[in-house]
Amino acid sequence: MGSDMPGGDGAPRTIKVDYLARVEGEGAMSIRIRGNALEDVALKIFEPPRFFEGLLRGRAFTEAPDITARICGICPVAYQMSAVHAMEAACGVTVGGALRDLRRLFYCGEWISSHALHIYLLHAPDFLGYPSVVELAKDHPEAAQRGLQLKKAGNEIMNLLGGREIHPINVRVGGFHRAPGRADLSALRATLLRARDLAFETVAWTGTLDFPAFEQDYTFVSLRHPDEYPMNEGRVVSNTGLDIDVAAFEAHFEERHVERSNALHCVMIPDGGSYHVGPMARYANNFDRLPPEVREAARAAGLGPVCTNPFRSITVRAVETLYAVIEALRLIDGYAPPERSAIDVVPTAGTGHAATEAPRGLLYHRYSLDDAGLITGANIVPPTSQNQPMIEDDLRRLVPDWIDKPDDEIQYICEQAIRNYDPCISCATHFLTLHIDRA
Amino acid sequence: MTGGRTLVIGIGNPDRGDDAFGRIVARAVAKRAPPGVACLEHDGEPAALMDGWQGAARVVLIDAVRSGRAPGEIVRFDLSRQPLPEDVAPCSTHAFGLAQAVELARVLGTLPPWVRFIGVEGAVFDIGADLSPPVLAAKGAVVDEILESLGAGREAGDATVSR
Repeated sequence: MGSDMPGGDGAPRTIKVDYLARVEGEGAMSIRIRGNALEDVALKIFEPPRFFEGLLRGRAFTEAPDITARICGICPVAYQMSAVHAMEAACGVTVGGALRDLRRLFYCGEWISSHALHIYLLHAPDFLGYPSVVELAKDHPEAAQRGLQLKKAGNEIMNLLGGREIHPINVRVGGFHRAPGRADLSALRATLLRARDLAFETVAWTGTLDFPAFEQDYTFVSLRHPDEYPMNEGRVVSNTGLDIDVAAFEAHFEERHVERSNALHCVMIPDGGSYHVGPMARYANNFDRLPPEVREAARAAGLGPVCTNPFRSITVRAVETLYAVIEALRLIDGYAPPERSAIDVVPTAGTGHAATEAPRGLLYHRYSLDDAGLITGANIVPPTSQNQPMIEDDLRRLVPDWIDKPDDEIQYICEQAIRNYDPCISCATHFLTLHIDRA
Repeated sequence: MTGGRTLVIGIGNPDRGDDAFGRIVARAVAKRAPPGVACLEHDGEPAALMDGWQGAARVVLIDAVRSGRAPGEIVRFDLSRQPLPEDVAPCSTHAFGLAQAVELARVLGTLPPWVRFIGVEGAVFDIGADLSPPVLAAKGAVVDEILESLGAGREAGDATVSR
């Protein structure tokens, strides 16, 4: 970080921060201030999905799950799940029964693992005044251990179903290469029972943290399913009345190229408005789909049915972690192995769409296939691309309240505001650099 | 669990040019490793790393770094005794990096007693790129160095692969 302090009113002032800590991946953020007015906020992001979309063209439809899983080491299950569901939609196939349950269990593992990492190792230090979890762990080793144990429980689910938790290899269009036996899943039960206790403790613990007073009137976009808290299936809905089939996604959302950045910013059509995807959106749109004990834990931690303070997203993530653990136990207890580990999927020329709920929010995939099953077109819209304009909006609202503060305080609150979204810039950029430009 | 084993962990992203170096080295060491040595390829996700090395007696970590040195230059650090220097940034897109995983494990008392880091200065980290020539040229020396340190049966604490 470099700083040229102001010599007086109107003197130029520039701050550069070369690394923004505790955000997944790499990118750039700039804030320009003139006098006492915020002039501009910009997230600059380079997006590997564009590279992978090119890589996918000409490949067999069966290759998409493995190729797209490599886009992100943090949420490979999400990429695989969106890919297989889109391919199955293109081919007119629906996967149900035990295979559907296994996919949901797999997703529970990723939510637990990803949320636990963000809550404890990335986000919690913000609220307790530590520069990182290493310093936090010196004073609160039990909290760090709780986070690691929770994450491990999620990793164990991913290991069992995916073959390995990073870039899982067991998923295929139509199901899995190998389905676990009942005893395999039962072996997870003791771990998940412990994880359930840890998750309850996590919800309560996050409720004791102090949060900046900041509310936004968000447009929350997520999946909604008739019977369950959404992971793999559902209609795309918003709290402002949107309710569409996922195949209509591109008629309602548009990726616009932003000149100052390599990024495509996703906005709603027709007004170009920003919107919010992720845990807070899922929670607001699906509170009634949570089991009573999870709703009660949320209430006890200070959350209503809708949370509009993004800093409290840490508690919403904790609530979703608890839900995922309870849901994983339910799925394990009800599991009867499928007769076959995958159903046959015969490729047909056409286009398939799918959206699933990655830990960070809605992940949309569209693929077009020829009659040999080769991919002729692909479109991947990751959650962080969708949240970018929303993050910028938060910063535009937030920075004016802090504009008289020293630059390092502005930088810190901005970093926190970005971390609220757990932006997985791994799938959307390379290096996150923060610039505050005062002139 | 890892018991008293020795772990050789090659960290990196196979799709990002020189970032694949650690994985490629681990793969090569695995072909010639003495009994009791487990070789892993790892994407570097730190919590999984911390879980993976728990209980191990000796750990060798290999990764590509970006520190301003000449491409292909090899750096070595004894992480049992010192943190990974800040100017040596292993190439990870993870928010919580290897250096922090080591320090968190140290604070929590779960860092194995013998941890060595071998890094190679990378030049190319573009998605889809191959290893750059200077990094590829460093591979043989790093593999031999690791095998020599493991195969000679030296005691834990030996500084063969530390700087």
